[in-house]
Amino acid sequence: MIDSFVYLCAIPELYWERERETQQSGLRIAHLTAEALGVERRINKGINLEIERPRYTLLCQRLETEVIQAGRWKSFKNWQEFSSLITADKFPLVPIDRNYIDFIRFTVSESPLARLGTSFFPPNEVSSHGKTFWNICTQHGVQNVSALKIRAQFFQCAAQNRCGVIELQYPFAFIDSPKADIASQLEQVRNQLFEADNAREEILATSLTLSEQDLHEVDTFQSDYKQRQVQTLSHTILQAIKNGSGANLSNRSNDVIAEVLHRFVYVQPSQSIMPAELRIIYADGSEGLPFPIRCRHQRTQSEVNWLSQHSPLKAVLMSMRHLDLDREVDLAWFRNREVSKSRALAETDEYCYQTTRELLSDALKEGPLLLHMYHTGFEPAVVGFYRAVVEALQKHNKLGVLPYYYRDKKPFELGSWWL
Amino acid sequence: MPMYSETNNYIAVKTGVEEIVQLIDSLKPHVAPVDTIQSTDLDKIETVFDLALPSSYRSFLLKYGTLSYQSVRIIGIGGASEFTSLASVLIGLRIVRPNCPSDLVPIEDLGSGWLAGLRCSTSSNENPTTSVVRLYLDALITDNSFTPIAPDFADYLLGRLREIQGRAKGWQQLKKRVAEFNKKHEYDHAKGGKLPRNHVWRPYRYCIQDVVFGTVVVRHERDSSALQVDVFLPVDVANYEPDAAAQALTLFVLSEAYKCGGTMEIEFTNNVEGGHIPASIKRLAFRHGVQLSQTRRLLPLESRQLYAALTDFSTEIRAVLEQLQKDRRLSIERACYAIHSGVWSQQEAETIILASRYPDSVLGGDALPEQRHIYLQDLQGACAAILGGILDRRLAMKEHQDELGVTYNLEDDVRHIRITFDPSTYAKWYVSSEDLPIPWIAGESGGENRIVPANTSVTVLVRARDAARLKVYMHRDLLLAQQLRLAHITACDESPIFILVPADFYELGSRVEEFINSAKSHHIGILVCPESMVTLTENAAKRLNSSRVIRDD
Repeated sequence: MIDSFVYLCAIPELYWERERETQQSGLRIAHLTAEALGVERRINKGINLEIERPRYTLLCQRLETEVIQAGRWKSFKNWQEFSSLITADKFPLVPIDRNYIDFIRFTVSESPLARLGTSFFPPNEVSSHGKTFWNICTQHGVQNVSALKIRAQFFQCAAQNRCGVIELQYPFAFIDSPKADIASQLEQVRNQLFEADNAREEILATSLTLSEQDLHEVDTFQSDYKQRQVQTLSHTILQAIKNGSGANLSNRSNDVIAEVLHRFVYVQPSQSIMPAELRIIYADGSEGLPFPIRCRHQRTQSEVNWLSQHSPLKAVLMSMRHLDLDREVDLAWFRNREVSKSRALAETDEYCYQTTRELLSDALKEGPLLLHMYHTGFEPAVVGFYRAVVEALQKHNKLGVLPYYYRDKKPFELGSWWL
Repeated sequence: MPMYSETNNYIAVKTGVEEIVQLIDSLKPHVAPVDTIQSTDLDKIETVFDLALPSSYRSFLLKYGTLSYQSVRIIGIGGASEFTSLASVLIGLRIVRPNCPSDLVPIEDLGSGWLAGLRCSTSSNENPTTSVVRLYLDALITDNSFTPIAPDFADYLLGRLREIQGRAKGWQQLKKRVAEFNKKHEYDHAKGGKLPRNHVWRPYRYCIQDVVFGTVVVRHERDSSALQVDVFLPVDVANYEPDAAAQALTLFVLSEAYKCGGTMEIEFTNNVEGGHIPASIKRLAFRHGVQLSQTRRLLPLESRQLYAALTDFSTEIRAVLEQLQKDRRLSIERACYAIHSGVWSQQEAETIILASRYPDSVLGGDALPEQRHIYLQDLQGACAAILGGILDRRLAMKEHQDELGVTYNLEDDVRHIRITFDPSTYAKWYVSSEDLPIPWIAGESGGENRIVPANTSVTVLVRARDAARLKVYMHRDLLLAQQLRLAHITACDESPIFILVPADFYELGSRVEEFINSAKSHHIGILVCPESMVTLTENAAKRLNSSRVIRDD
């Protein structure tokens, strides 16, 4: 089995300063670090992920290669030697075993600000990261694991000596396995969490008792054909919830998708909100982010009336789809060129979701937003859009979306309010 | 009426002789009952050849003697040809293939050296039930030569007849669907065109070189979330085992069912063998021990079991996958789909499963690039698998030369190589029954491959490292290679051993010569793959990205 281990390398502060970066200094990491941090920020915001993620991989690769090629790293036998190595312009280096990466796998999403799992830490982050890391280790009861202890101590020394840290991973180590295998210990924790999740899901499942009667009626569609489609899709989704499988939303009309999702998001005022998630699957075998359901109460007419007083912002979901609408709307929500790229449908869903999150966040800073959305028929765009709308509705009570559904040679049909 | 079997735990619904009689009678005047065969005739055959013929076969012999309908030729009694005479065939088999078990009763010559037969017990069991097996007569016959294909004679014959009867209807239906498809989508491989949505009928053909192995027409049924199959026409091609095409088509259908986001239920319309599960699929299921409970559909669980069975994982890999499934980390179907959708080759996937600490993370594409350490661990595992896979394909590829000396290779014209893998050293062992040319050897002059004689094991340590890391770690890899070589030397055989590295090796400057000489002094070769770590990493990142979005159940 490939057994990776990690070298921790402390690099003094001066090498991290862009002003001092020269060819003579022999180590050009300052500009790489600055760029990589910028890319990280953009990735965290969900901007241009297709371009930024490969770029990030390349920047980290170059950063690590710079350190390896510099050749000034030196291992040490005790912590007292750390400072003397720094004084001698050497980079202290220590190996830690695979328990570190195993630990990261379990905890990577616990503290996003701590940048767990990243491989470089500029001097100004070393102290705070080290403390947060040690807190997380303590919370998980693994503070006696050698790899984690060494890492925490290394970061402490690095902070004291005003160094940044770069971590280098080596596969095909073929070294002796660590005496204590943290993975099985963390696996037990994971299984306990699973069991807790399963128990919670079971309680939810029994208490939900979702049935056709529970769903509020859709009185939007005039056509019987559309109503039948709504029933079929509702039934499919109910089965998916019951079986824990995904609901395939491909090959469905965009208006039917929007209205059926609305049925599952909103509960009657007399019912309890019991947030759950619906797995979304597309026809190309890809799986999108889960869609939140059972998380909003149906709004009252007075709330609808209040929001309706505001001037609506009219948007068509995608540009270049219904060109005759251009004179009716204020903007196109998504650019057709960005949405219709050749990629998995789940990736398109994610793009639309992230874009909508940003647009809504910016728009709501200005005040209440009433959005009239003229629909087009691209399922991932619809799902991604409404996922972000539901998320925004959880945080803002001054947002309302009213869908308009295209009808051939007839006026647009109004959908259900998303408030 | 189908009968329920108490003793046969393979199939819930056992085919009755009555069903066979009904079907055969419908084939008149091609097949007709005979009056001249008596029970005593069969007793004589049993006595002479020391056999106990199963009841369904006896009933068939007594009523029809033999059967010849289109390409179905059932060996029996009577009939015009000696090649369908049971006695003649038994005598011939025992003379020509004396090591063939004496309890084998041939029932059909399948052509190209393949034979279907019954393994009949020689005891005086009053009502013996025997499964139908298939074997290749032109190879050495051992205990492993017999492939079970049907639970009994009745099921086998019914399947064969339905298969043949269904062909004419199948071809008609295919023409109709292709015409509809072309009219609606006007799709052309050269010019492109509109691609269909999943819920419309879509015809596919499966080809190797310029030979069509089979065709299917499928669509995703939105209301039931099942995959519907309207045409299923595999063709047995010479030089391939019978049902090879059916296996390929079945894997396609199962992959489509997984991909389309349905439940994995597969439904066959009335245009497929009269609305029944195709006989070839039933044979494949029986061969792999998958129980099918319905007559015209595969239930979701059955589809999943068949998918895993046909992917043919080794016992070791299967155990790992079952544990991952039990831990809810990765479903077996997802691993199968990752292979059959072309993201990973089978060898690459197996390497990942055995060698990675978190194969679910690699096959599932779980790690994101911004989670650098986890992503790098998965990326490195993927790069190593891809590098090994490039060598696998290169060794298997047979090169030919035309009259102008131009080298070319043909699809599916490959050497059969047995590959084993040791995850603790990330080493692969290759053994071929033919001479094996080894490519890319660093420091070999002349540009020609070294040829390793047939049946010689070749050891290769796979090391996907960039130049900076090769510089640091090459000496350790040489040491390990030396240890492996010493461990595997026998008195009369020294298996060659190599270290496989990417093209980054040549960036080491003066160290290149040093490493080559050091390796040579220990009888170790260095294979330098033409791909660099940059391209391997790009390739790996693309596959991890593709894996990330695949559905996970």
